[in-house]
Amino acid sequence: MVRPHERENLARPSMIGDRGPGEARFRQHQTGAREGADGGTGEPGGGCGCN
Amino acid sequence: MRASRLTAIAIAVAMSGARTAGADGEVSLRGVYYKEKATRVEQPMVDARFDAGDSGSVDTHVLIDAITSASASSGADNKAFTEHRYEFGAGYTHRLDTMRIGALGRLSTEPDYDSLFGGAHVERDFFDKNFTLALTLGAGRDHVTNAGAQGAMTIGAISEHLTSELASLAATQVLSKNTVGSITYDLAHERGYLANPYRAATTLDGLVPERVPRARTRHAFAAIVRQYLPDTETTLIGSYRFYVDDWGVVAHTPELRAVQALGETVEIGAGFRYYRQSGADFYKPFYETADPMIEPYLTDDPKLSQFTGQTYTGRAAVLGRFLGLGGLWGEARAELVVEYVVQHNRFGNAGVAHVGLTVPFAY
Repeated sequence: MVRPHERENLARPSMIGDRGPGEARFRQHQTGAREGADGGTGEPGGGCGCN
Repeated sequence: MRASRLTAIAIAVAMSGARTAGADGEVSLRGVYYKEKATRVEQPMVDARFDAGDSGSVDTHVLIDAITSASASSGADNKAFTEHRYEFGAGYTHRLDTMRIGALGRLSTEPDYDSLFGGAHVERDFFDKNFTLALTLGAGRDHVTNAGAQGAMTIGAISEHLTSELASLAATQVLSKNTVGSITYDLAHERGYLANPYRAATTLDGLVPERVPRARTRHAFAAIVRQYLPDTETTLIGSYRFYVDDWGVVAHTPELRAVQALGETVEIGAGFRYYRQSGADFYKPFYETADPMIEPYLTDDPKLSQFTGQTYTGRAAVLGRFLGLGGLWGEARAELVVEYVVQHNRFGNAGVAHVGLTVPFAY
């Protein structure tokens, strides 16, 4: 069990998410348009005519 | 990852100690340039996140896609044209002790495609926030036309719909004071018009409009581990995704990234992603007949073929303090991301560049 006062390193930006929401969204959009696989991010894919 | 991001918010809130009475937020401006053989995309976007009351937060974004393409599958007739897509999204998350609940919506519109998606999510912490479970449910409704068809690509007016549903379950575990891991399972079901209205398959009977099944069920299992190395101030990130669907596509996606802090105000990073997939059961480079009794499905879609690919990423980020700025501008973050995508199919290679600026604010 890791106590709250031991989580300093876990709160670093690189440990929380090294990609911002805009970068992550574009990446999912880009791979969804070029690859047969999609998902695994908890976010909806598709939503455009890039199929 | 939405679940990871929400967990991150929980960790950050837990780390922040007593909060002041003021509210805060941040706004990000980002521009993306993407180039592949037949297509160029320029995408400016704005993301904003801000506190709403004592227990809520709002995320919102707006973006414009300027897509210039000479690809037949985008409706062009060997002449480059530019099309614009507009997307708006918003979400609200409410914190309740060890739980967070929220809703999200997304609207996208372009000349031949309109999409509306809505969803809800709930997340709960256990064991003093060492373990978190998150559930996201959503549904979308799209309207597809071939309004962008040019010249010989016109095959009659198409006006179809596509319905999609998403269920996502994620679990995040703090493994040590320097390690956190999470797993995600996404189940997506799509039904309706899943073809590209401009794409044609090559047969001995000539070019035939693409025919694909009107339903698709997708499963994606993903795992990610983040490890911080205090001695070198390095973060190592490893992830793997397994994907399978009922069209016969099976894909493996391992990825490794490293983020290196250089003092308190500069960060650099590098990443490598490998992608491998099998082809859809009905994919063929060439069909001997267009007879639907023999070939019920026909496609010329490169992303339904068997192929591999690699993505190489480099990034650098600096805080405003590095340039001598103070106050909130001192905490502003400027970022450059460059990617090169190698893809062994007809799409070919692609280059991507992001430039971003994130500025915190208080109100």
